[in-house]
Amino acid sequence: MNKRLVGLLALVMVLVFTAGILGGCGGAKEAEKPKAADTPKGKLMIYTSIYPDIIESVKPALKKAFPDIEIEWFQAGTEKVMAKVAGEIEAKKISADLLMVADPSYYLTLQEKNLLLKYDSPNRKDVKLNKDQDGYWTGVRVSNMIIAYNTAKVKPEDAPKSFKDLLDPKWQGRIAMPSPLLSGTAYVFAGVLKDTYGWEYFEKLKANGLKVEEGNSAIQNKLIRGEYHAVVILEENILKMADKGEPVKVVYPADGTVVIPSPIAIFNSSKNQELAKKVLDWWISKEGQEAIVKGWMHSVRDDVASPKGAPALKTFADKGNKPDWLKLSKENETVKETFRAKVLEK
Amino acid sequence: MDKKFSLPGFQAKWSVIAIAVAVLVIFTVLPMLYLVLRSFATEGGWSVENYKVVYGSSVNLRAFVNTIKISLLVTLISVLIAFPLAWLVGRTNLPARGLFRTLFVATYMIPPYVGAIAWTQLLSPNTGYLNEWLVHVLGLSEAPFDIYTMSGLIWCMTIFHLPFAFIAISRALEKMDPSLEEASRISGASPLTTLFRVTLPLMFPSILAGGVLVFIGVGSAFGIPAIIGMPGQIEVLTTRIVTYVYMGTGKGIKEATALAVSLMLVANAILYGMTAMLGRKEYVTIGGKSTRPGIVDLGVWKWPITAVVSLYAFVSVVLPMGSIFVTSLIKSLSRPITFENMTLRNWLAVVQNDQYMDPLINSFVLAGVAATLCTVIALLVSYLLVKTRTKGRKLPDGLATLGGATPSIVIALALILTFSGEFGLNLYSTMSILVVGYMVKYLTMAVRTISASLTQVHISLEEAALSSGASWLRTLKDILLPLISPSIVAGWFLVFMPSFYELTMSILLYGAKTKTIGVLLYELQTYADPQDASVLAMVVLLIVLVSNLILRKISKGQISI
Repeated sequence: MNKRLVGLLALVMVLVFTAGILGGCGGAKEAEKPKAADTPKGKLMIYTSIYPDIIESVKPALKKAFPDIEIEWFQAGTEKVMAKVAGEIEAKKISADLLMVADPSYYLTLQEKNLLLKYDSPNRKDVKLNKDQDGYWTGVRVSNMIIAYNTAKVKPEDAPKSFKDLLDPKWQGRIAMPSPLLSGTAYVFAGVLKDTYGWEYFEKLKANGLKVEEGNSAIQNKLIRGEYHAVVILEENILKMADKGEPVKVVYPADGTVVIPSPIAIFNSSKNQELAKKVLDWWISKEGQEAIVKGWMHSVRDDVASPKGAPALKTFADKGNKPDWLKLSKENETVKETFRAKVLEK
Repeated sequence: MDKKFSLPGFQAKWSVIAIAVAVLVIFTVLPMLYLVLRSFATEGGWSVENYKVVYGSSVNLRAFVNTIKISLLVTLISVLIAFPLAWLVGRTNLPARGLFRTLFVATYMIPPYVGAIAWTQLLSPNTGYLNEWLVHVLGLSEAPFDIYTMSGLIWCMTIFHLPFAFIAISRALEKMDPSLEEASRISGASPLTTLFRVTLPLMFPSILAGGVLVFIGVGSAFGIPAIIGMPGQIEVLTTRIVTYVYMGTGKGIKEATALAVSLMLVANAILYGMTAMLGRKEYVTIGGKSTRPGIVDLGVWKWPITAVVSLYAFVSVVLPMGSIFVTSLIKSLSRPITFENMTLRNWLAVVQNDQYMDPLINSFVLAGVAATLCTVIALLVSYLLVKTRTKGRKLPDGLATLGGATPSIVIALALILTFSGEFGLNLYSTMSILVVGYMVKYLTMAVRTISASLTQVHISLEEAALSSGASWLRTLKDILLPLISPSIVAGWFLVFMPSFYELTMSILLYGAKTKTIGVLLYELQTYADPQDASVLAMVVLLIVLVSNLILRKISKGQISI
């Protein structure tokens, strides 16, 4: 009796999962059918480095704007998305339609490889920051690499005022930054700072007990808990946490916030180009930009307010560093390797 | 015995078995061979150029040395702890032995990266819960522990690989003929002398076998070294391989390949070295069931030992899991742990988030498919192994074992190289490539379980059905399957569970639509949102726990992970 039951159970399991895989395959096949170009219906795949919770908060607005488009997201750190795309290029299977990662220099690399679609969106006239003149890519959100400190552990007058201040021995072992090998914004930060102060800046940071973490969030949590006192981190992480009531505060460094206007672009291999164009239009429209600001990032337009708790972009952007994107795109591998050798090697 | 050859239903049987063998060869042997081949391939022919390049960089050389060093140390410590624990549980009057046994193998079913997450919460320098508590209680000036160090890494690895040794040693103790020990006791030796002069020498091969399992497990591990080692700049081969693959370039793949082959060689060298060393010695004698092993009375030591053992169980299982649970409920990380600072909101947010639920469903489907296919293939492989006398009947089983003993990361890389369109089959970023990876790695679990129970079904049952005119397939369906159904379900779960929370292969094989729960957890922990990682880790733990309970119920406590 019991054995019968077990046998039955096993059979049911087999059936359920076979059904599951067939169903799954069917679904995947459907997505690959090219759709009629003039209806905003269908599926779209966006590769992005925007945090999962922010994606979740943008979804309702997107759903409202495009009720018939099923948008799929693939979320990972910029460098991981880049690796995925590189692998897909090798395997000749790019499954992304839209790309929204952090590092602007990467778009130059893709443009050079002739993988991006030229599209001059009507809304591009309002984008004030960082757009390709021909429309291969367009700025869509602004992230800033800043300094943040723990207000429970550090008095405001003692807080670091500039990136250089982090070399002060009083921070020994209590400072951290995200790894340029894994985070696109951290890569830009490393590339800019080594041009400003030379590699010895990072060597001195290391001597001052700098910890290099994989991503901004790991740093954010350790800053909140007081393990770190001052860190180099993305502004959006800190704005979000400060709003939650956590003891953290942003400092816009005197030696130049690293302003990173991250672009959006369409792959020219996309089978859903018309859909992708519509969604791109939305992202740089006023409505789309408001969603960006809700996700604690700054807008690329000047008719949209700053995120809650942050000053207007222009108050610090002009003093900010002006990264040379072309240079950063060219020296990607050498900067990462040098950073690894000089900072990560014990 | 040769009669089996003349059984009717011959055709169906052999074609089905042939298919199973073919699948094994295509997905196990070929990719591995191709991987080795590729590692020696250079622009103009064959050479060790790739190895020279890779090991010319000090970071890789150090990673290699670290891998060997950590594996050896963890193996040594595991065996040193596991043996006394197994002996206490199996041979003494320790109270609550069943409970302890369960606790000692509990970490076997917890995904290692979940353990790593827990230990970083407990022993982060300055802010780990346990560190803070110790500072507070003992009035220290600074935190006593730092998990992001070599010793921290070894500690976490030991806790999570010790069950391999514990299980191997426990089994050997159970199988051992107690009359040998009795003889020693009767001759006037004390329990301790008996332990050192009789039990230990007899157990030596099993201890070594357990040690090898630990060694290979540690050398192949990725989750723990990535979460604990990388922030402390301690690199091992697996983390280097992943880093290289993530460069996304042909050059990165090349270097990863050379490292992967090195890792494979280390694992195989250890495996074959041990086999050669032991020869075919099986010291363990199987005695009649009538003799029960003499239970050693711990006497005055009973309670002190119980206290020590309980502490170990608490620290290795209860504490880390508690830490993850508490973290998953906390409102604000900057405030102390109090009831006011707890909420179920984090849980709600996670469960409602598609970004998190999709990978969970993916993993369910992937693991289910892998488990189902593995069960079918394992059934055929076991049948071939146990029920026939064909030449080469051990080959498929050998291939399954080979897959199981190969480091996951090596399998993943081999599959990427082999099935990215070069040989006409492009599985890049598909569900299939993940399923294949899981199957290659975990098939051996199902084979072992099913063949063990198949040995107990007498051939006459099958013959009776066949001579009554039933086809072989029908015989299989009506006679064999019902008889061994518990082991089939058990085999299914033994593949399902590790596949469900697999990380090492998944991190290299997943695609945009096939993110798995292991990959998601790893990314949340290291990159996006460690608190959500704790909530999801609890969800995974619950699923694994429920699977285990079902498994125990079905196998009547005989099998659990």
